[in-house]
Amino acid sequence: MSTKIKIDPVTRIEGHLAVEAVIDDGVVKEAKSAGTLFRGFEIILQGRDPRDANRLTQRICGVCPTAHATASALCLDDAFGLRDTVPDNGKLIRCLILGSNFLQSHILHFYHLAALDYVDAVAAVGDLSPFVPRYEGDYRVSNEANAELVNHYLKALDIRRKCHQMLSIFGGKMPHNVGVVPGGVIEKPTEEKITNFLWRLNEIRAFVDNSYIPDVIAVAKAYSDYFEIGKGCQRLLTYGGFDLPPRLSGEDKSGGKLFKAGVVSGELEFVDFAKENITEDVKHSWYADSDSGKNPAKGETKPQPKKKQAYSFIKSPRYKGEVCELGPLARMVNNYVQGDAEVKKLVDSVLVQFGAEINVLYSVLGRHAARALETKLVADAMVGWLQQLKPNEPAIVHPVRNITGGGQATEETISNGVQAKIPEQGEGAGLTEAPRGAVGHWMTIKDRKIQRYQVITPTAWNASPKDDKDQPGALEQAMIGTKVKDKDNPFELVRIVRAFDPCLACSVHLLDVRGNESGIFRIV
Amino acid sequence: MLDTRYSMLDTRQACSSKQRALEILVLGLGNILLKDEGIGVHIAQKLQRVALPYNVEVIDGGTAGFDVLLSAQDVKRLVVIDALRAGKESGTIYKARLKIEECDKLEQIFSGGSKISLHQTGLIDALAASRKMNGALEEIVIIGVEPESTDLGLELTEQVKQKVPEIINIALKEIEDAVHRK
Repeated sequence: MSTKIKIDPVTRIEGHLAVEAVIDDGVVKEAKSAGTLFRGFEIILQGRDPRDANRLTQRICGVCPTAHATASALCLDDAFGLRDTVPDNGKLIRCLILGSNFLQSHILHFYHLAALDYVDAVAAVGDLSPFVPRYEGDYRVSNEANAELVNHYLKALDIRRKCHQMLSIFGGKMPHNVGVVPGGVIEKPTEEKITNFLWRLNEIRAFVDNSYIPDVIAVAKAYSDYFEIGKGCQRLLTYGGFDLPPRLSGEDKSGGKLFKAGVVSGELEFVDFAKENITEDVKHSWYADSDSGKNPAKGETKPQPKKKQAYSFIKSPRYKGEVCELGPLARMVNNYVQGDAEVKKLVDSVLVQFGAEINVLYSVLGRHAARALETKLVADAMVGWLQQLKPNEPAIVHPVRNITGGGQATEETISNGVQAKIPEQGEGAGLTEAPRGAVGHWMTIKDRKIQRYQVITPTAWNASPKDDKDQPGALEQAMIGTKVKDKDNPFELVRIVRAFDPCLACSVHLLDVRGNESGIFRIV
Repeated sequence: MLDTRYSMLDTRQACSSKQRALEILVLGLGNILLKDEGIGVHIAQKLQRVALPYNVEVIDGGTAGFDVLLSAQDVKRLVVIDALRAGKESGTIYKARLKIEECDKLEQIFSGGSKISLHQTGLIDALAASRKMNGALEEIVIIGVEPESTDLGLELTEQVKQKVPEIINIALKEIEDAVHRK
């Protein structure tokens, strides 16, 4: 008998990702992942000053504003012709700002969102607060290990605080930093800032080495069946991210990236990535069919909420028409396959503990392990980036001390004293990596205004609905075929969804107390 | 181009290495891309242009505001400003004042009945976490504003915009009370 179950992981704030599974004989036959809120923020940007994209796109999301800041700055660099002129300090500080957000986000994901699917906090401390509500799962970790993990949960809050502090040393504020701008970053490095950053970073690194990675391994040992669950589409895509100066990346003078771009198949075959191969389908999305199959550089956002067959406000991004998975797993495997020695060492050191081959990483536990290892990779790399900073030297393209009389900003000021012309017309693309996967911004400028702006978020790829060829999205594929023991408590599916670290719930968080005021609020 | 001149004043201090106890932290929450949903941020950005004592902090928490609670050092009093739907006329201003030990009440009124939060820490979770983290927190004030519209758009609606001076006054009164209460 087939039953339909719905996991509506609506945050109490107002969630936007709903997952539906049709279960037949205890196995998922069909899965639907739906973004239930229209997110057409691109529409707001049309007709605005191109520079506003850098400020406004950060506001799309409360979880990855830093990645949107980076992508929009790269996009504007491209459109303004500044791409090759960002000084080394600027590149490094951008990486340090984005890196701080990676560390924060990954630690948040494991300890404050995912761990409670595996760790019985109630058994350990007798009290769920401040832990998020959960499904009752099968908890297999011993009581001592439970207590240890709960301690780390609290420590992780403090570590995340330190990540935010690091980010704001160079970014000015968190959330929605104001440091990353076209042409580089606003803040010059000083010895004081570097020191302030480094002592926090070292504490975070110690936590990653001594708590985060061992805890993920402890969970993996207790739940080793989850190396078999949630395999997914097995095509891993990265745009590449963390643009480094040449001397650090060991590549030609254009510089290289910490995360290499590429597409890796289930057989671990690697092909180069080219952004022109990205298209977005909308057959099953609430957008006009005329939008379908377009590259984001030519993309449109025309909502059509009553469309038949559609079940999501997410479009279906595809690479050469194929479904892809993005995120830490994609990045670690791409670097591994492309021969990155550091990544190979990290990944192999974990695989050997399980006597496993790299293909076990295509799984729920593989995604958690990749995320933990990536945290270490980024944190350790950040030390090197800090050391490469040149104190008191510029971090932004040729600053101009005095633009016109009195230092008044003119139309030609791109950001803090950087002069460049906003082109009459032009195009730009900014592709980078966010904690939960690759993110891209595309813009077209006409009459010095934004004519078109398109954003593809990582969750759009991972949680996409079926495409024009009816191929299910990455998350949908990961759920199909999964055995569900108890349809009233489908923790297997929750664990699969969570391992992707989906992010759609952040754009609105209106407080809602209708019908439930309890006399606490009074009208002023 | 948007005016962002003041934004560098922001959480630098909240996130700086200086350890200091704040008498009061005013946290404006919301999404400025969705009209009245951004009221908390609009208010915070205006308050940041006011010269305030050293032991007062105003933060534009934007869409990640709850996370800011983690970054804030020891804070005695927290004021959250946000859009709040309670069903009254648009622009209605609501206020709740809770001792830290009464925070559980918030749990009751904000319980959306959902079993699971896939992402983003909610206000209640953040408060619970900050209670464990932040021993100094004594009182929370929530200032809510009934939105007229939360559609796409950078501007506040007229009904909410005309309440801005009043909301600022309420926030300033809170700040004044907190600073002078000793």
